[in-house]
Amino acid sequence: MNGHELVFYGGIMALLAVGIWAVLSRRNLIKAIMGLAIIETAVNLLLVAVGYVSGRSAPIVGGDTGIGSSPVGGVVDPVPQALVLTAIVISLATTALALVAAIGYYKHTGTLDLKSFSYGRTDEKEVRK
Amino acid sequence: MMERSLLQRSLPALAISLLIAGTIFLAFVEVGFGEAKVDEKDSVSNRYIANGTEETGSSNLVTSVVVNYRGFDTLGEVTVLFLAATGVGALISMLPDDKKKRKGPAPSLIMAYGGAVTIPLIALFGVYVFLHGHLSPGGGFQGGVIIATAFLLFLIIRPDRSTPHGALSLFESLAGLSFVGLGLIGLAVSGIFLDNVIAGFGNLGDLVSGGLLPLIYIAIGVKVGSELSGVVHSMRGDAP
Amino acid sequence: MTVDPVLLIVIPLAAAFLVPLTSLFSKAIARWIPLLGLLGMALVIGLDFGDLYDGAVTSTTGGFDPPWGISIVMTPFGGLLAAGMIGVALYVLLSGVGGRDGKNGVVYSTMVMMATTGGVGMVITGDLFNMFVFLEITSIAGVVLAAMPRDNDRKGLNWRGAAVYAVVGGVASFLVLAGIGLLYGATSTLNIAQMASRVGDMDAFVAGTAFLLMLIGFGIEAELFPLNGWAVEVYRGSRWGTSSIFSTVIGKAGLFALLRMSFIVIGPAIKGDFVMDILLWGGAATYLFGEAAAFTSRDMYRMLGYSSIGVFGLLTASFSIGTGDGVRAGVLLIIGHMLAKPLLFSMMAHAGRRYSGDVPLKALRGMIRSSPAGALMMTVGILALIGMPPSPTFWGKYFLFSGAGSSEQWVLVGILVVGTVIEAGYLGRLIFNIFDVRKDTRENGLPLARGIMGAVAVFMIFLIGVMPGPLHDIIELVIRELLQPLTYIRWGVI
Repeated sequence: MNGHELVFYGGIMALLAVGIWAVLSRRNLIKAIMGLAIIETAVNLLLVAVGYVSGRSAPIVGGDTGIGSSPVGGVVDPVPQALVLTAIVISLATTALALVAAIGYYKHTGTLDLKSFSYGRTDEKEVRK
Repeated sequence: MMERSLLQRSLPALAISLLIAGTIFLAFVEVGFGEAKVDEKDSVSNRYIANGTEETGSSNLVTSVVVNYRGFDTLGEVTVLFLAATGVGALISMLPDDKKKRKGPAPSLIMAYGGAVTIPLIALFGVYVFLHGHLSPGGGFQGGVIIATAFLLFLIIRPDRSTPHGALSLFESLAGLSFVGLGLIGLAVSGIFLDNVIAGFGNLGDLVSGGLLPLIYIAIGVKVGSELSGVVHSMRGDAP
Repeated sequence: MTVDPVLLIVIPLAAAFLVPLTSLFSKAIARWIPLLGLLGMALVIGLDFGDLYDGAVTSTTGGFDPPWGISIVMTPFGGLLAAGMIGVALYVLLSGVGGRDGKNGVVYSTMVMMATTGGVGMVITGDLFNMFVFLEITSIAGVVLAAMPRDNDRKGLNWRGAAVYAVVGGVASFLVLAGIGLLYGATSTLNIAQMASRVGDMDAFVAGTAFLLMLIGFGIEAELFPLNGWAVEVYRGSRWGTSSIFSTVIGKAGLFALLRMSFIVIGPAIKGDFVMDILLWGGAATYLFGEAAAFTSRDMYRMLGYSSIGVFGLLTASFSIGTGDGVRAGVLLIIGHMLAKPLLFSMMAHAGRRYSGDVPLKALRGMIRSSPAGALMMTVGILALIGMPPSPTFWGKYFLFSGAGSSEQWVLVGILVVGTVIEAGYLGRLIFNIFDVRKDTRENGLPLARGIMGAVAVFMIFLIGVMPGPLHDIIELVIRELLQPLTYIRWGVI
């Protein structure tokens, strides 16, 4: 296990652990969503890290990058970068919706605490005729 | 009063998260970091790197992968964003009404004039980014977000202006349909959805190159820009 | 006649993008677009269904053959599930025809269509990351669906369900993504068939970690114990259509992904029956948990929700027995569940529509007199769920018992018996309530559209229950598909 692996993978895993811990243990909905965002960032970093090959440069051919017409063996893997591009957009979508749902919950019940909502008895009042 | 420390209260959560993170760590260490894979010839990316520029006409290999080789994924991604934007708009309109309508504070002088100068530049930059997606890092999504940022800034310095949400919806729909349409061109011409039928058009490295790819990125840029502007507008709080 | 299955995705996407445009001009017309989209999907799958009897229906995108281009591999199992999902979505939307429409009617029907599209995409794609993207499509649509309140809801249960699912579903998705990253790092490909053929070189620990991640991630979506806490929150607060979609589209898609990855990709990499055993006993535990929780529920939505959780457990265990009978049972149980659950949700929502928040059991009291047609259809649905003949579930349970018995899994048989008894208990209580006529029973006419769709569901239940024959050949292919990875690998190579 070389130093680079420790730094990159270890750092990412630390982020992931923080995120999972936050989602599992925080009662405040917004904090749980923050935990989700941290998990998403960690996994995105993980994907990019998988594609990295040391010593190689960005997968853009020609122009200023200096990569000539045969980029094989000279560029990193473009696939994980493409995947992360998609994943970041998806995290945006997920986080936005989660936040709006949290706002709705707060406006309706006055609290952001999921556990405070007791299951209660069934509401037997009939509302309409 | 029983005071248990933060750590004590959330011990099971800590244990689970460390267990999961640790396991994943060990697995990835096994996979390796920064080393070229032994069987590089067999990886799918080998072909993308070797033939990407001639098969797709784009110098940015990530764009080749995102829009051409894996264009179907990008279509799905655009859809996810569309669903989220629509959902956010619908859910916000369902929120209980706040009796007091707070208007945003009037912008300071610096903001007002600074914004007036920078907004067009930001928007232009956004257009640049998605127009050059096949030549430099960037693309439709990044460009669209930058444009939406310009829009957000606009709403901040001119809180009295209402958003043209009709126009935004129109752009969004047309851009989305264009993406599907560009894909259907492939279906019609060669029987394969999202085939880049004019990939060889133009010279590599020019603005006009990459076949349908820049067109798709333009559609995505417009769609994301108008979509996220719509989201910003919903979050502003006035009814659509 | 074979139609390109990519149209199963292109048609609803085009419809979805058309909706905002049309809404500008006429909301009334925009309402119909998702329904038309679903009908288009139904047409495509109807035309292609016959080809499934010969194997998979495949296609490519992007202009490149797999594994460089994303491929579509609609296998018999995938095709069956896709057909079922489209059917349920049509059932939900058609039942609402002619009813009052809230201001979010257009969004609701669009999200129903899109959740279905995501589910269909998940089961027909041949590429792992593509499957993740479709998982997100279905998940996001699910969050929006979960947030839409029932008419009388005053307690904000919908927001709670949506918030819980948004967070938990998000975590599930990204755990799956981490697993995908791991598999990509190990095999350098994202094409499922190619991955399956490279599995032999994978380190067992890596494969095991990937399995763990997929198990947690897809297991959350498939409502498996102990990852299903979120599901009750959603079932409790959402509309009957949403609950139907969650238990037949979203959950089934998650289950499919779990089975596909476990049986065909990861399982062969790990020596022994480790993978199957975890799934088998996890499924059995889920089944017991779900049925027991349903038995103690006082709210109708929660009861039916827990029942769905139980069925997911039953299905997982069934497929994981590892024999042909197990797979046969699993497929039939899926079909039975997809037919009966939406029917039950629909009728139950009708019976309980006067209540705000939770719906107590006594809402069903005297239903035979207040809405006789609905009561009869609901009774058929209940009996179909328990497994009374004629129904697909009856055949499913028959094969399940014979499969478990012939593999000498006596503990499993015991669990199945206990579970079925509990099931009969609380579902029987419902029937008792339906026929319990009191003096204060009020008239509650069933809307026409709902009644027609209910009759269709009942008809299908009886049809397949009496004549499961035509399904025999396709189920044989499903058995081969799941239990022999080489079959799928061959199909995946175009």
